[in-house]
Amino acid sequence: MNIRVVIVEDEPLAQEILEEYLVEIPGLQLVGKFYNGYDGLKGIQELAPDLLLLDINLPKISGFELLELLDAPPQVIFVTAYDTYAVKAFEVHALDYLLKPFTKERLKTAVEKARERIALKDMQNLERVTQDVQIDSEPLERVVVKTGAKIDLIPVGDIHYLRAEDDYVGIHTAKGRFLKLKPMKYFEVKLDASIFCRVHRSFMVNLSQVIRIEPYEKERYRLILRSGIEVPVSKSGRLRLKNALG
Amino acid sequence: MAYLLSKKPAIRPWNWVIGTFLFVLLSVSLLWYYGLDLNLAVVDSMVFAVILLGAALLLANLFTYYNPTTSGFRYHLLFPVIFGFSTLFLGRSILLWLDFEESGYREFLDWTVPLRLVFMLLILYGLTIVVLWKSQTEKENKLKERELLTEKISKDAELYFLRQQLQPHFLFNSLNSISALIGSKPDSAREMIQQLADFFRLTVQKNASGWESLEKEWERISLYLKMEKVRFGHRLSLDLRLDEKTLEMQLPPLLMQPLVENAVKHGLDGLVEKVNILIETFYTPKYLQIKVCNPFDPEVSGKKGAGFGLESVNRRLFLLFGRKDLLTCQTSGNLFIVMLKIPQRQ
Repeated sequence: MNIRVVIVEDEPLAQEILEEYLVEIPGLQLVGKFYNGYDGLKGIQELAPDLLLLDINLPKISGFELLELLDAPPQVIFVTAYDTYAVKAFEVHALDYLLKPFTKERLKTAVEKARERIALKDMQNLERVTQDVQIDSEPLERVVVKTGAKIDLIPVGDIHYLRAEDDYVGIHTAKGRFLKLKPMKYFEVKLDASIFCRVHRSFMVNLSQVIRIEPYEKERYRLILRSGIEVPVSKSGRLRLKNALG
Repeated sequence: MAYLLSKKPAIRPWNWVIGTFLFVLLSVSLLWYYGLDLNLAVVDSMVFAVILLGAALLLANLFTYYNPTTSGFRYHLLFPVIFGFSTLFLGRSILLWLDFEESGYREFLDWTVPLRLVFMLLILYGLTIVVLWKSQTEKENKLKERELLTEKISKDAELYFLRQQLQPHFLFNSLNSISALIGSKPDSAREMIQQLADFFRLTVQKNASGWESLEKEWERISLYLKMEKVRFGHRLSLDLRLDEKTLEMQLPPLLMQPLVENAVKHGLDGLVEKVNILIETFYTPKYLQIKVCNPFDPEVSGKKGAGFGLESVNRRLFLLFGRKDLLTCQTSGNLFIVMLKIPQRQ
């Protein structure tokens, strides 16, 4: 069975050389080529390839962000000129990480790795491993959210607060609420702890949005945000808030 | 006042003490040798020592903080004489006022006046020379220090710009493009290798201090743009409007390039559609003005790295001209506009 491959890469020549090398590897079928993350996302969802050759520096949304938006990501080989993203790449379970320029042999090795992994997956009919929350060295700078076919990029500074809603987290900004299919824990790890504080099981707030902390019922507190929203503070949340505010 | 206090004294306090002690010792020995009573010799010497110390301190401070070298050494010759005469006059008056019973002291005092004057002038002139020499060496040291600092700053800048310029990603991506061209269009590959080589040669040749013409700077920028066209030709278009009159104008090397790179990078990164970069130069008698425009997506502002290139240009402008108003950025709709003004040396 052929491995179905999709390329997402913003430079035509870089696509060209990938294609040139891929053609010479038997058992592969190139099913799609895309120049940016938006088209790539749509294409991958339609084509459901087995393998994705992905550049990281793409216009508007990065390769990482594209991957995050996919419900069932294929195997991924990153192809980039930057060596600084390698650790992050393996954190998102990338198969391999190719540095430009690369040789035909290097691409071949990566593809063979993919072939093994895909065969293994078929054999055991493995479900996609749910992505663990990784301890990442760098906090998120923006959050990508997909609403239907629309993709929004929300700079983390624009977030007022986050609220857990079943399996989703509601991201509240001046422009309204965006839903993202992630547990609250994900944001607790990914967002900068000096800016965001989990004040309640269901709430995380942007500390710069807080204008007042006031008592509420007995021994309980609530936060008033700039937008006028009131956010409850739990007992353990109060402790974290105290630590965060110093 | 602060700068006065920060200045190091030419002569350390301990040396004043030793000097005074030596003066007293020498003076007592001499006076005693010439037949003065020992007690009187000690009192006489002490009185003059104290007054001379005061005069010397005054003189040293005067020449440390006020050093009128512009008017020649007139003051350096005159002041010790004034101070010497004053010391002698004051000392003599005090000693006479003390009115020692000893007969012949007054005559002795007057008889030794010329000798004392010579003696004190020698001391005061010696002191002047030491102070002058000290402040001169200090001045030279400071000058050297400043020179070293300036040199270091410009070296740092040079290194910084080289590293900026030799951005490995640009090199790696270009090499990747060449690798692709070798298969399909070998001639284009050769051409791009040549451009890459020329570009890096021009970059490495730069010395950070010398200025160059816009024409020269443009040579390098256009090489860069050509290579970016090879990589992103499908969505990168350029609108270049260089005023003929500006080509001969001067600018520090590698100052304009970061603006162009910034525009290309953020234009391509921020949009998925076609990107048009406008570069325009204007002639004014005092300034070379450069305008660089790129489209951007006002919605997406959270991406890191925006403005970093601009920040470094701004810092360099400040180092060069001491001004912060030469680089301005503004947005107009979905256009990001950078204006650079470079003062022209007359």
